[in-house]
Amino acid sequence: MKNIWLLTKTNVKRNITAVLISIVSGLLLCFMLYAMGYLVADITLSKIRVGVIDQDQSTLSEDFKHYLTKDLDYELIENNSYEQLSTQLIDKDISVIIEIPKDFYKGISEGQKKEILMTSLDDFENVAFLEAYLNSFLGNIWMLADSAGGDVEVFNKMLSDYRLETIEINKAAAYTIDINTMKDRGGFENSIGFYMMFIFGLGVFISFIVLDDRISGVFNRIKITPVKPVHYIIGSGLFGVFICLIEVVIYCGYILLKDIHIGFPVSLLFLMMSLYSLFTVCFCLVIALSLKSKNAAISVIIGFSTVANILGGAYFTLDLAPVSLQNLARILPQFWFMDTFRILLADPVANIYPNIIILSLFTILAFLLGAVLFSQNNRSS
Amino acid sequence: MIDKPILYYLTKIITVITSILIISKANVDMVFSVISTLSFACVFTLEVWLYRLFSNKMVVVITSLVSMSACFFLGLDILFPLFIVLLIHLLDVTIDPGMFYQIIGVSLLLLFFIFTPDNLAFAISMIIIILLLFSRIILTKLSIYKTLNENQNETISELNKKLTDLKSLIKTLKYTTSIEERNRIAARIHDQIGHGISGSIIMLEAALLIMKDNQEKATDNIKRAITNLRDGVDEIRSALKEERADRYLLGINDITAILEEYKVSYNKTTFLHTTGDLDFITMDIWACIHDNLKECLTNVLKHSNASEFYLNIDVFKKIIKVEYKDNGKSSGDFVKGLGLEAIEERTVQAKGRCFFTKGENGFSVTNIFNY
Repeated sequence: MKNIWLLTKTNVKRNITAVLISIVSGLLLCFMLYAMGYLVADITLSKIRVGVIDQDQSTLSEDFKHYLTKDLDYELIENNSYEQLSTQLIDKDISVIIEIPKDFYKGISEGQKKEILMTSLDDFENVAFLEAYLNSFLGNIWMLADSAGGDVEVFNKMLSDYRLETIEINKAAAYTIDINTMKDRGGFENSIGFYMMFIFGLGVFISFIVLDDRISGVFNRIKITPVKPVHYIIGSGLFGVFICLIEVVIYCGYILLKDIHIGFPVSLLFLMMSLYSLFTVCFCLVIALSLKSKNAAISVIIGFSTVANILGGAYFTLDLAPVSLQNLARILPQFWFMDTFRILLADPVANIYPNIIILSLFTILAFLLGAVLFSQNNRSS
Repeated sequence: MIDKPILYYLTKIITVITSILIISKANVDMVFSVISTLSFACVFTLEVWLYRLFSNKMVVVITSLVSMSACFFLGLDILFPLFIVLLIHLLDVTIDPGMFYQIIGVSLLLLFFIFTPDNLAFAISMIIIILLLFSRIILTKLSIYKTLNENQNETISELNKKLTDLKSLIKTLKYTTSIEERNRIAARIHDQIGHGISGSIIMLEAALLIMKDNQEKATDNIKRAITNLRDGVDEIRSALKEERADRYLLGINDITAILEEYKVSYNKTTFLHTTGDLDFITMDIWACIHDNLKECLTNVLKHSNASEFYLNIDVFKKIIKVEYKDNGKSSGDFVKGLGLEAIEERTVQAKGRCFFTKGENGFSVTNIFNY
């Protein structure tokens, strides 16, 4: 026990950079939780952007734009180039392009039923609402034009009277939004995936400790000292767990201190993150014991973490991915880790025992594989 | 390297994945599938680890029995191939290796009759059984060859050690022999020649002292000293004659050493054949033979694909014939290069003649010397 403690302490002293990186990555996660929360809230509550090509430049077209911005709270992107607006539409920067044709005012005032053109792609909800607002506006204007009977002066008079009329538009929220909860949850959902990325970065340090000692011969020299190889591996593993837990403690501590409502108890989050950290440490030790060079180790660890994080849904959900890919993701611990939070965010009292069992089994399997490789190396040497 | 425990481990992992993910045909809950697969994988890995640590068959027996019970509990219709692999492993560690295939055959037949798996499970089971047994045979053979190889390496290492010891012994013997020889020569000079010369000096000194008083006796002493010194010189001559090796022995030994060294270094067979009295060969001719032999041996390595080299030295009544011959076969005519020209020059300098012959049976250089 004394040897293990000594080795862990020595590893901390030898790899102070890893400890610092762990602290920095923990702080970075907290910052992401904070920043992502604001970003999500901003995106959700931002105004709907609409592209407008005003070829008429008349008082009537100004009335229409006023109606959209002041009464209906849309944000107008005015541009006379259809190509630029269509690019923005394809990039989903705007929901729709509204084109006010030339002689729109002239035509209407002369009693013609001039149309306002609308181009959209797949933002069906906003298009439906906009179409309804547009039809309402045009219906009123056409009615005024009909009443004027093609007399421009009468139409202008009626239009100015119409402007003076205050027509109340009653708006009702489809659902109530708790902005703070949304910020907290959004921040958590978008930052937890990065935890999986950072933790494998720390795993590289753990594998480097063992690989360095194997390459330089320290691993073999230890066998003739009172320190047993098992002590050495446990010492290295404990150091790995220590640096991973620093990050977890900083992240969970920040959530607790700032009273961030992630939708389920922080203790559950801490448990899952600790389990995943253990898995990472065991996995990295397996890599360090099975490979012979640092380049190979870093390639495998970073390669696995990148692909498995994407497949596991760390950065985005796989709901739209092919079923085969979704099934493939289930053989990865990353999937079950993220799945736990998806379940808990949907229902805080949901049964997550299967996820905990699966993650624990992955950790045990990685530990046992490491033990087999270690005993095999020990025997052959 | 893969050994039997690893082979069984990999087979079990593959079988459990195949059984649960393919045979279950997605009818089983994904969570259940993943938990079952991971649990089995953990048990199998634990088995390998414990077997590595304790090398005890009981570990395999216990884990196999537990896993077989789990197969019954979870549904033998799904896990039938895994059950079979577990049974084979269990029998492999418990029964006599000589009866392995017979008992496996009977047990599998009974299992197939009792449980009658569906077609897919049957096909997968058969494929896995064939692959497993085939791999097992290969591994067994590999293990035998590995042991054989290790034994051979050990023998080679022992022989190398012996060779090094013998080389060291030869060096020591050479040194000891030379020391002994030096001591013997020193003792002979001291005992026979040294004493004679010392006696002569005393006699000459005595003669010097009595020269004036007794001239006759002094003359007698000087005469005896002269006789003594003459005997000493004769003794030195006789000793030198006795100690000096025969000229021909020096030459032939040198040639034999060159051929032996060549044989050992390049793994080519060399033959030396001599007839007649080699004492007639002068030092100049020995020097010429020595240099020409070295040149010919180098040519064999460079140009000829020969495996054998012959050196024949025949001393006739007035002629010495030296033939350097190999059994190399090379296409095309030979071109007299610098090496062959040097052989020719050396032979002419030793007052001899040189002939080159290239035939179907190899290349030969013949030197003829007169004496």
